[in-house]
Amino acid sequence: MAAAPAFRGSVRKRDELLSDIRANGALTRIWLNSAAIEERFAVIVQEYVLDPVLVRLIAALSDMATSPARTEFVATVIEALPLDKPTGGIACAWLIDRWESTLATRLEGSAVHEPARTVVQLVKDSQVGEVPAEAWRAAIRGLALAAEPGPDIADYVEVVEAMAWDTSKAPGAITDVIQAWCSAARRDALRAAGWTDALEQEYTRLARDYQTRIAPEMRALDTTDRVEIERIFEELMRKQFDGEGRIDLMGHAMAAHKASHAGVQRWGDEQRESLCAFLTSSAQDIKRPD
Amino acid sequence: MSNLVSISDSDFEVQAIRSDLPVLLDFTASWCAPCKALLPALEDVAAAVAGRGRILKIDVDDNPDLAKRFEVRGVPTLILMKDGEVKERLMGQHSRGKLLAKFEQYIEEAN
Repeated sequence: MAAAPAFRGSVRKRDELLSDIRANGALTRIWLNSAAIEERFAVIVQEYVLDPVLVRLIAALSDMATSPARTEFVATVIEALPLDKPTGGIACAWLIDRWESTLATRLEGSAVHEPARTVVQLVKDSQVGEVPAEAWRAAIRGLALAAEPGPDIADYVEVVEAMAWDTSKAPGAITDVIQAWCSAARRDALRAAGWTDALEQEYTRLARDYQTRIAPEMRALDTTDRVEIERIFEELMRKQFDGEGRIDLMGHAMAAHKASHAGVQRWGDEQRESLCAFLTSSAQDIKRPD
Repeated sequence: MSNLVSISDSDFEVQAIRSDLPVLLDFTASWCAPCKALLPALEDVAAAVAGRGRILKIDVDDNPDLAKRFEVRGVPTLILMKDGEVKERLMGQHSRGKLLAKFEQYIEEAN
């Protein structure tokens, strides 16, 4: 049986969802609320006849965007979906495109590059037919048996591990891919700021000690203003780090985490833009199984 | 149909300790939002290891003795067991890929 087209081919139905997105209405809040659970996707999938993988991909990519950018992104994607075709396969086609244009280059020259390519080939194969469970298992085993990757590669191996699922059976795997990739981008930004795992461990240990020391002062605060509480907390922590001659470490930590936040924002912007561009430029050519 | 099996104190010995297959114990609670968020991943992993490994759900409120026995201090807590022995403890959220990779490690050892 052929799959139904997006929005059952109805402009009115699509506009109904667009209005809800632009007004941050009830449906959008349920769909994109990161604190919600799996059932949040079902209503969008069923009511608007959208692919469960695509619905999750949109939610995952919109997660780290600020409010106006998030609305614009989700509305742009919805507007770009063709009304006369089903949406199955779009999310995977975009992911494969991102693998070829971005992710693969991170693993080039490493021992995991070939096993990772095998996984991606199965992802491609799963878009046109059933991939036996044994093939997925062998690919995952191949990835695990490859030489121990360095820390900068290990994060991207996790992205590939997350890709090794047949999304027609496990649509939630796309969320894992985006989360693993986002985490890799965050760690890239931290490393670029000279922030190592050893520094993170040292900073965390000291910060924990100092938080215990300042706990009585924090408890005695006579305010409920969150901004004021955060300002006082930072001031007290600064005094602790300064008193122990480690203010340089605190400064480095703050700069590195600011850089990582900016890195994640850039990464998110890049992925959202790429999905919009992908839909606009190639939606008509995407191979979609009936 | 769910591939996850809910167990209790009364059948723990048979379902987990004497199991021929590696098992992943999912210590959970009905009020726990992160447990609910983890559920789809566990369902997918359970389907991927069907016939080779099992995921067993244990409600900590209904089975406080088991929670105490396994020193469960927070939910969700995942414990991988093989041949009646605890092999690994996993806290918090985990991707399908990570969970499956861990599980496969013990499934392969069992074969």
